[in-house]
Amino acid sequence: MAVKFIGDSYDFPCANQVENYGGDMNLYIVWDHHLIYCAPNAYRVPVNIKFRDFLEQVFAPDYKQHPDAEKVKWDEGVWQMENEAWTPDFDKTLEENNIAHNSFIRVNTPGLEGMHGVGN
Amino acid sequence: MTTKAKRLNMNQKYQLMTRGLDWETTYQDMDDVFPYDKYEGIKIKDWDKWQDPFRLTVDAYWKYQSEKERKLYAILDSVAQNNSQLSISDARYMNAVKIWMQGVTPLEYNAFRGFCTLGRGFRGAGARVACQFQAIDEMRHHQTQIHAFSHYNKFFNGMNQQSRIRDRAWYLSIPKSYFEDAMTAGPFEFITAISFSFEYVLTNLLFMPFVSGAAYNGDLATTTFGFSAQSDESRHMTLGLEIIKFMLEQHEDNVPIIQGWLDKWFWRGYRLLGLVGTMMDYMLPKKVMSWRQAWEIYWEENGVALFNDLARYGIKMPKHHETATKEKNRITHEFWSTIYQFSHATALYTWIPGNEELDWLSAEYGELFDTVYRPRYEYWKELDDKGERFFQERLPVVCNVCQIPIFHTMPDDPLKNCCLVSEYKGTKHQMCSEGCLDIFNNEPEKYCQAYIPPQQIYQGNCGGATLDDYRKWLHIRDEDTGEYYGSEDHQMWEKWKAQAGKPTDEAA
Amino acid sequence: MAENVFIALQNNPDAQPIIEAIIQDNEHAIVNESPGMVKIDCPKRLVIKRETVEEKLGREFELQDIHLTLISLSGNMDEDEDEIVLQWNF
Repeated sequence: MAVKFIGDSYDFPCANQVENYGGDMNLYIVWDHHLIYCAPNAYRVPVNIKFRDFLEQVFAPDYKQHPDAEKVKWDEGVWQMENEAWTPDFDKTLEENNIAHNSFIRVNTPGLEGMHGVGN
Repeated sequence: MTTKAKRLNMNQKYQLMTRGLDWETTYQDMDDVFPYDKYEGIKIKDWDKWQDPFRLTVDAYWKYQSEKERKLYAILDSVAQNNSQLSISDARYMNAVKIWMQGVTPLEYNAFRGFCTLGRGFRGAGARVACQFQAIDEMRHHQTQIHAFSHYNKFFNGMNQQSRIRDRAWYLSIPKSYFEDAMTAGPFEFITAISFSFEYVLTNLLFMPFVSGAAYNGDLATTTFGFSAQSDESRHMTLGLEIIKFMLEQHEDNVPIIQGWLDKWFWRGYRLLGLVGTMMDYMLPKKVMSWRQAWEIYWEENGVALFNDLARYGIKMPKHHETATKEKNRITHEFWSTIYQFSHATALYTWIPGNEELDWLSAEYGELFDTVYRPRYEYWKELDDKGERFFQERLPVVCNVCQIPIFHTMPDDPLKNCCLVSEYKGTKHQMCSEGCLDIFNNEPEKYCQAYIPPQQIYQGNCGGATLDDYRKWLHIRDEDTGEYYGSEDHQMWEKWKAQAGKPTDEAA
Repeated sequence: MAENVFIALQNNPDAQPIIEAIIQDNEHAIVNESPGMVKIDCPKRLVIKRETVEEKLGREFELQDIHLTLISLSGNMDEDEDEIVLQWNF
């Protein structure tokens, strides 16, 4: 099924295309089983930031009110991109890790599965 | 049995006043005069088969509407004269009124616009008459709601920037996008979306348990306009069902098109109503009915009966209804958790429910509530007691279709966010559910244009990059947002109660 | 199987004779009261008869006046001078 329209064409750019970000991009990432933070987080990031720097300097501080935040070791995480298994290289940049605009990354940290035994 | 028809009977009057009002054009092609009622693929053989079962004609319409308005305004005057804001159960309740004012009232206006378009767009005169009545109804709802709320606006925060935040605030893009999606479709899809899916299937959940809840919480103004509007809605929903049957009976080719719309608009409506459920479960200090119970009565009982009735046309239950039912024990808690942590970016206050309310939620929702959400709230309460009230400072990923932050969890795993991806024109788009993913994939050309607030903020189109900049751009003050306890509304309410000699309510 | 039709009316004196008439004319009607509102469920079919309402009210009544107290309904609806019927056809 495609959109039905009147006229000769129906063709518009994506409102969230990478061209609108001045060389940066969006990155979406969720730390599974830490649901006191309700949704995956969205970031506008430079493409050449190292993945480890992003995680340690930008991502982790956003979980500062969670008791797991100070215990986490990202290297031990189980990672997914677009809901499929994926292995990041922490010392490479986002771009070098094939992380593209609007990529969705999930990390699961065995042993750190949120509070109350239920992923809070 | 006595017979009442002295003059024209109801049916004769209806036929005379809704048929033969127009003519077959000769200088112009009828398709040029009515250019919008064929392109969706709906085939109509005989427009005169469109019937309003209430047989409403313009004379009766004026008579009943003026009577309803007289009753309503007598009460609204009395609300203002008697300081009825003092009679509500608790000032926390007023946040439900704010959501209505900010999010629902603008929908009435968009419904007005939509039905004006339909009142011109359909080539059947009976259909045009019905749509014109409905356009006037919707404008009436918009106006009466603003009149009713104007009294509360004198005392409570968060109600003074309606038209601006309707267009700008991230959480109001949820209801707004629902109507704009419908308004940018053709007339038959619009009427399926609004008159049938929204009004017939779903508004019972908004206007019945919620407005009854307003009555229980002492809100005379909302109860009165709510039930007054709902008497119009019952006419609209009756027409909604007739319209579906009319389209289905006109041509068998219409069946799959309508099924597709029912699938889409059931899911969009369900997602939107999660917000109403949250108002019922969390914003009514005195509870009438939980979302779960309302879902069971109005969907599992009444909604399913309706689809059983439509089965004879080959219509099936809307896609993903099983998922909606699976989510009935969690959706409102997930939604409240989200509003709670983002309320510093809303013109609303939020709070952790008191112990009695938590016990009510436990009783209504059982084990899942006790194991997941209750300890979550207790943790947030602990943080608040330490002076570390929990707010999420980072923007969330938002669904590209329903525009709700992706707090939703997997249908069979309530402990894990569900976030699905679809790529179109080289750009990835995120959706919250299979339901929204289907809608996107059916019309990616349309949804790729969606104005998604966090994306727009990051693109630099919303006043700046910080929360403070964003709030300024919304024209809401810091004092209008965040935690209820200690807020200006709370302080004023406690002062009023002290004057009346009632006990105070510290953070529960 | 889900098979009820329903009608909901405001819980006020204007609606009272209508509610009483519905109870009298529909043996299987179930009345649910909640704040401000009365919802009446009935399996498959529910009828409101003008004559019965007039009996309860003690004067003439036009069925269309139900618009002044009606909140909501469910079921295929048909109305003429003498009765309003809500029913499912399955």
